[in-house]
Amino acid sequence: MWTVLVLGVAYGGVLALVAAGLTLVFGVMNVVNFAHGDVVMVAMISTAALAAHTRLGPYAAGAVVVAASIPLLALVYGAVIRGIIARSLHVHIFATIGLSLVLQAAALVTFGPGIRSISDAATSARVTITGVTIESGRLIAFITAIVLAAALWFFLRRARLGREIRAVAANPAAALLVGLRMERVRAVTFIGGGLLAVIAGVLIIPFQPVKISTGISFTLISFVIVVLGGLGSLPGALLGGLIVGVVHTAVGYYIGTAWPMVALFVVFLAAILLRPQGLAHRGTAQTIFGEARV
Amino acid sequence: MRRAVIPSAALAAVAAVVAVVPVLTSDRFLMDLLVIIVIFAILATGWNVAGGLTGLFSLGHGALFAAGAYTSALLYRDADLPMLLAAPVAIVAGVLLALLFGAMAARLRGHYFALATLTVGMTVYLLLQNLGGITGGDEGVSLPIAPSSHNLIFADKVPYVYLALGVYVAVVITVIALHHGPLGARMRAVREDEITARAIGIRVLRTRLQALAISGAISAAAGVLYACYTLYVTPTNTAAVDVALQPALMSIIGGMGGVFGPLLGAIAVVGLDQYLIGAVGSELPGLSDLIYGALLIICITVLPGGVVGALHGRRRRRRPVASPEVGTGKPRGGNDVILAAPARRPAAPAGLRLTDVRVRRGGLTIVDGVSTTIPAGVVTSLIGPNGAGKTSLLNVVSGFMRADSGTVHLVSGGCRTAHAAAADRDITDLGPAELCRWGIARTFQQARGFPGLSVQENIATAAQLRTATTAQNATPAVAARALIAELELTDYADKPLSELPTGIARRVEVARALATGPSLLLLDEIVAGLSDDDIPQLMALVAGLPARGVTVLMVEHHLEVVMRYSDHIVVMDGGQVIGAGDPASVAQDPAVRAAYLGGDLTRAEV
Repeated sequence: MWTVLVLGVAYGGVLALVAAGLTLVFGVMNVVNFAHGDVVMVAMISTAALAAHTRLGPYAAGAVVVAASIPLLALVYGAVIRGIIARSLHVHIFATIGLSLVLQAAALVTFGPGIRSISDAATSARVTITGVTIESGRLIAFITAIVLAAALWFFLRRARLGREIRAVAANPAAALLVGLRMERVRAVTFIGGGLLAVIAGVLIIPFQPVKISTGISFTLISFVIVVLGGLGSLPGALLGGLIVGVVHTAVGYYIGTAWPMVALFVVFLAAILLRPQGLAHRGTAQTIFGEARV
Repeated sequence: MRRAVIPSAALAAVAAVVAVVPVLTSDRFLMDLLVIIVIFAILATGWNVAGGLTGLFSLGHGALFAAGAYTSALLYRDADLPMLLAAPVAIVAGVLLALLFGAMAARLRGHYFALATLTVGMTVYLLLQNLGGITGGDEGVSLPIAPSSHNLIFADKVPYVYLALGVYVAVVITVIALHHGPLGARMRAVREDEITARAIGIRVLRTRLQALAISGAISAAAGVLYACYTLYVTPTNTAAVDVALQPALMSIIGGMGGVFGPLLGAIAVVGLDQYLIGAVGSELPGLSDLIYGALLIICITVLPGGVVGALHGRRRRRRPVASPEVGTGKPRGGNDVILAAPARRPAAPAGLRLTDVRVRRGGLTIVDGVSTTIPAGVVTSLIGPNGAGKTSLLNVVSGFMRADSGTVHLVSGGCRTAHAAAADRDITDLGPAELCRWGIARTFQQARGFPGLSVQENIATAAQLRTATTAQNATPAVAARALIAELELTDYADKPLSELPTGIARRVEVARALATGPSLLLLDEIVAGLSDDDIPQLMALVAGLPARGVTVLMVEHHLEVVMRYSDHIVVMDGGQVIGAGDPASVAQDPAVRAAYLGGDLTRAEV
């Protein structure tokens, strides 16, 4: 019981990082990115491939992937996302689904089908913490995710660019009126949101194998998380991530590994129908990053 | 119905081409391609009834396809039901699952609906995999090859071509009828703008459920055909995400606006698949998805109408601008689907009695105990400073805002046959669509309407539900033309609403509200932003409405207009009514002058 809880929370931390990227992009641009999970998948596969073909360790390979992903994310933003922000909802949905197909196909063409994983003695070493034995990769992933989430929180509160991002999220028209550089804020947000997914992928691959269809699972999981937490809410994403991590782990442990996604979908449908504004919603006009619109 | 001639002819041509293929060739590969294309064209056409026509962008249609395929296959194999009996049951299963989507659509919009359908689709996929005892798990259900026509299983491919073609033709005839009938008009209205749809009396949820039920039936039928043809049904080939995305992909590439876009999309997608397998073999399995993904992005961003839209747009530009409906002559009576029932309500204006109406929103009381009477058969103005609660009161009366307490009664002025029981009716709890059916119509301060439809279509859609009182026995199209002429919108009749300047859009608002045949018309600042030359024209029309059996209640800031055209004035401030009466007495009322006017109102009366 305790083991399941600890493992679930550890996994939930990384999932929250994935979901934070999705919710950040949604909050600022109102675009729901159906390709978000595929970004995680591509990061996982390319990290695994790089680690297998070079002598780099998993995190060194991951660092290369993170660096390489920045221009690619900028390219995706410029080629697809920028042009659809002002368009209607179904354009967002289907353009990003198109992006998802392209990413999956590109991964398939580049890396081929099949399951890839990393076998690394350091990350699969077991450590015992609070009486629970856990792979060090999971522990590193959890700690890094929490540190990053905290850093993101402070960035959005304290840094000038972070405040601009929050301003655009809260009221794009007013942000434009006071002279904020919307284009820059949006590009930074999309690349930043994508980077969170890439980093999460790098953190997950040491302890979880990947195949092409892993991407859609991450997309759906992060949708479940952000809907639980409220679309656009960062603390909501953290809370939702932990809940989903625990449910996922517990159902896999007690019922069977075929059932966690079914359980998550049931939770998701219940949440979306009963409380579409999210669990963290405070009943104010609009919740953006956990605070009322000013 | 004349407009349906072109798609019907196109359908006949498509059917003829497909029907002749088995006669000309016995190439099994070609016939296999043909059957698969037609089955997916059926699925995509079904998706498009929800997606393209009604704006319900489902990502879960794989589940509906699987419902058809699995239900029929299991009933046939394990319950010994002949396929001809299993098929209708399977279609009912598809409809029920689609209605579950509809139940979600009742609460969810936009992203949430797409996500929820995707989730239901994935859940069905996982259940099919996990409940191996019933569904065979990953192995799926394979049907014995036992040709018999009442099981729709044949030894040869030719009968499948005709079977699939027959179903496709039936489906497309249904869809053509939808496109040109009142239900299709309601679906388009719901897609374009839900709020306007409610305001013209459309029951939005019912319309969505109808669209999804039809869509589910068609998609499940495609699933049944798939099971009969392939004799092998698995979670991967019926319910996986890529199957769920296929119909959307096909409709978007082909074009969501028309009847044949999904067919063109199916030809493109299935054809491309086969071509790539032939050209590069299966060495590059990702190649087709790469192309689909890129095509999807390009089509959705650059070609919003798909291939059909691109062709159509070019043809339309070449054609002289004339209403396609003007030339169709007199309505064709009984077999004209869009002929709505004649207005049974004789024109008789209705008034309102409000008793202690209160609206609170987030700690503020925006309407604070309003008790007043809006007399029938005259023009009443509702005035007051910004934030006085005027528009909120209008929203309460039209059903868009729920009063926290108090009552609203509709008081009929004259003798009304159909509404005899409505002589004095409590309408407090009715929604906008119901209120419109009781004869209350409204305009919106920020002009709304159906942006993608022409002015003619906008007004005809409103007239469709209650043929305008101006012309009894008229078709909606005719009623719309009469209003277009009356409001001097003839030059704009064929322009999409989204391209009109504000002033014109506001006249369309009035025309649309009148088209519903109201006995009480609520106008929200209709002269704002109009030039001084245009105001008298529009207001002359408004002033003439009581004589035509329409009570007018208008929120207005333009004081000259108020003093000149009103028979009765209600003044609000701070959510309360602070005065009411005829223009002269309101102008003299010290409380009104102190609170709001502050000046000599009589001077405003030019």
